Amino acid sequence: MKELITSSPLFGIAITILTYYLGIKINQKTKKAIFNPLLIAELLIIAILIVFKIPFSAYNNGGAIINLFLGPVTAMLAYSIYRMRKLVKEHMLSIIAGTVAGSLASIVSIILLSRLFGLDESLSASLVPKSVTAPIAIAISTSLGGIRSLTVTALLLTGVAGNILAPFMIRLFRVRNRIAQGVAIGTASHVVGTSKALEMGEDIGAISSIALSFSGIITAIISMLVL
Amino acid sequence: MKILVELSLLFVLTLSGEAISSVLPFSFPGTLIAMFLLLFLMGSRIVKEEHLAISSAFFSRYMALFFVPAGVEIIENLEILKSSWLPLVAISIISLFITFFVSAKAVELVEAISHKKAEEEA
Repeated sequence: MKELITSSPLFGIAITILTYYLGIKINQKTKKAIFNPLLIAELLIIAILIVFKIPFSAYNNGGAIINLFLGPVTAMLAYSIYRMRKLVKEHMLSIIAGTVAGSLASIVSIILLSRLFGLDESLSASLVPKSVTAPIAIAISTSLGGIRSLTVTALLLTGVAGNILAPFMIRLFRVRNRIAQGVAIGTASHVVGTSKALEMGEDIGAISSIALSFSGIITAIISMLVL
Repeated sequence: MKILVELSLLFVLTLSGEAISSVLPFSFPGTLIAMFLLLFLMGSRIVKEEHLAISSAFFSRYMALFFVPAGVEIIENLEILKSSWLPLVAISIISLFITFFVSAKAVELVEAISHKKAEEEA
């Protein structure tokens, strides 16, 4: 009975949408950044899977279907970029400067921190591309000899942290310029951070979208040439 | 009816991106190719804003939903996380702050210089 229900793709889809809905409700009630809908949904699902001893593969029968929509959702970012095309064109130089500097800072800081913590090669290779969008990150990780699923984990961790902490980092570093806010969110925390940027305003969202694609390309080039 | 047209357009675009990606001599993600393809189609006025109005409102509002399953995959790495969760989390968060700071300040620097130039020219 349990297997019958949980191995149906409907199970994964149902609990994903339901927990995300709960996440939004809790977020609206508490208005606290730490009660992030994405984080709440993930933790609730992980708890359900562990408590009821449901294998990830059963959940993923449905999860993979929702995951499939990441393609169209990412392509859709072009819509915001297009609507804000004047702004993007006007600030192209700043966007390029911010993504190049940010991507370099990301790679260098990860390599140095990995040495500091004494991580082995395959772990640090898995971490290097963690600031960029998933498909590029997986390609980089594989070519550097990293572990694919660990890259995805670090990537999501960074994205969710960026999603939650973006408003805090903006205050902490006193980033008043909205272009700078958008570039920093997109460069540091890819699409997951960008979903927060879109909530903060379509201009920031559009800048963040273009920044995440640039930083993905730049990170790929740097890791192919240098590492 | 309109939503059907929008979704067809989006899925055909994404599929085209994957197709182009598979014939490229280097690896580049199909989703980003689809994004640039859509940007090009909108720029050349072949696809207009109203062609995607309903789906874009939905997808940008609830974008985070689609990342939930990928995040749950963490559960597959519990072994590695158990032994080295602290460095992994610490490195992820510290480098997030560094990357955010450096890229924000780089943009502010360039913006400040170009403002100055614009003022001098004026």
